[in-house]
Amino acid sequence: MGLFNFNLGNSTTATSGSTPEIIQLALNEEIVTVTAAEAKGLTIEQLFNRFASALGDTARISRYICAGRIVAGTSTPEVGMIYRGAVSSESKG
Amino acid sequence: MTLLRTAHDGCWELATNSWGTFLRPVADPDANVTITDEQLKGFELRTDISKIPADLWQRWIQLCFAMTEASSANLEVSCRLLRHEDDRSRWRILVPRQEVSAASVRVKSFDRSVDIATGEVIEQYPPIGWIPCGSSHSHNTMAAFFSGTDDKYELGDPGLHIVVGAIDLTKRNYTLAASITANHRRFLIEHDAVIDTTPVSDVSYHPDARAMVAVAQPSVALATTSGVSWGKSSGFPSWRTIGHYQGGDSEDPFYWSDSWSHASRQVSNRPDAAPADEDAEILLATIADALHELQDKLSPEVVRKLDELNWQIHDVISDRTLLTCFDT
Repeated sequence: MGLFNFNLGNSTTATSGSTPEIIQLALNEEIVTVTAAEAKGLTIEQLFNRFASALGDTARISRYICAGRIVAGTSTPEVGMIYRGAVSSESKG
Repeated sequence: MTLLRTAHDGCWELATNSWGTFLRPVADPDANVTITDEQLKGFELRTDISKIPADLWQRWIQLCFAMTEASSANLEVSCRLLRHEDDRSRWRILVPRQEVSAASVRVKSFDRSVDIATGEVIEQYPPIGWIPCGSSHSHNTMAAFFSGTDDKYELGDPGLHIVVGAIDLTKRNYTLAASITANHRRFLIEHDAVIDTTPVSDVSYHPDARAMVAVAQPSVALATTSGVSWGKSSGFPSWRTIGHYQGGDSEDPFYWSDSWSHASRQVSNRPDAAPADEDAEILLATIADALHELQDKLSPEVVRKLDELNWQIHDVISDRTLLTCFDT
């Protein structure tokens, strides 16, 4: 048992020390913040699909950028970083 | 009852029935507001937005007019809007390589774009330091509105999206439809709040930006003996039968037109092309011709729908041809 043991003492957005325990996901100019706890075990792509889908169409993201560099969607996100998803194609009518 | 408040998934409680324990969602007992439908659909635009500068906007409008003027088919064109990540008052307009028709625009990748003001070539989108914040496209002489295709691609692309329409080449005027998309919704706004539309003389688009725009022309398979339509050194067959993209990549599998005349009908005698594909190409060309002839007689929505179907057929054929190439 123990499936439903929740630590209700702290906010999941609490920080420890000077390092913020969050990861930020950006699509264009919109940003959503995810706690390290929520991001645990997820790849960058999975994070966007899970937490940034309200911002826009994460399925159309073809590139992830962190600190000016392209990162693989399959890589593990680092706490404290901002990841940007970029859509790279479109049609207009 | 223990209330579990999550960051993204609402409130939950532990429930127990005769079989065991499980989580179930509950209303937040501390809820203190009721949101009206009007509020939910509403949008309050910030008052401190730095508008798209007049000279930059004028370059874009010049390109929209040029594409309308370039062909009797009144072509569309599209661009991307970006703002500097440290200074949102700095705007940039990029024109990606695109295929256009009278009723649609197709961009396969923003990675090949040109700055409309400077002509700088962007090979990795978005350029460092700049954040995509929206798009604009032209409806040429048709009304400015957001079509179903626009919704499909813009609702998931949060930011400012603008349609330039009702371009009148004689009176040199146009109309605008502006919107903000967010949370998969579109909020219509007054364009004056985000664009400085003051006419500016002596500015225009960089010629390399214009060169990124090619007319979409399905290849046609009416038999002649000499008009073989092949791609370049990539070995992929080309779907374009006219002109070459100027200043483009010689490895590009597509021919890009820099001329605005209709495609001359050429044979598509690729050894790997199935007869069914050739038949389909003829049908495509017929549809394209019919669209061109009927666009003034049909409603814009009908033209768009037909054009969209034309693209879908084009894609099916294109995908099948590429697969054939890989198989061989």
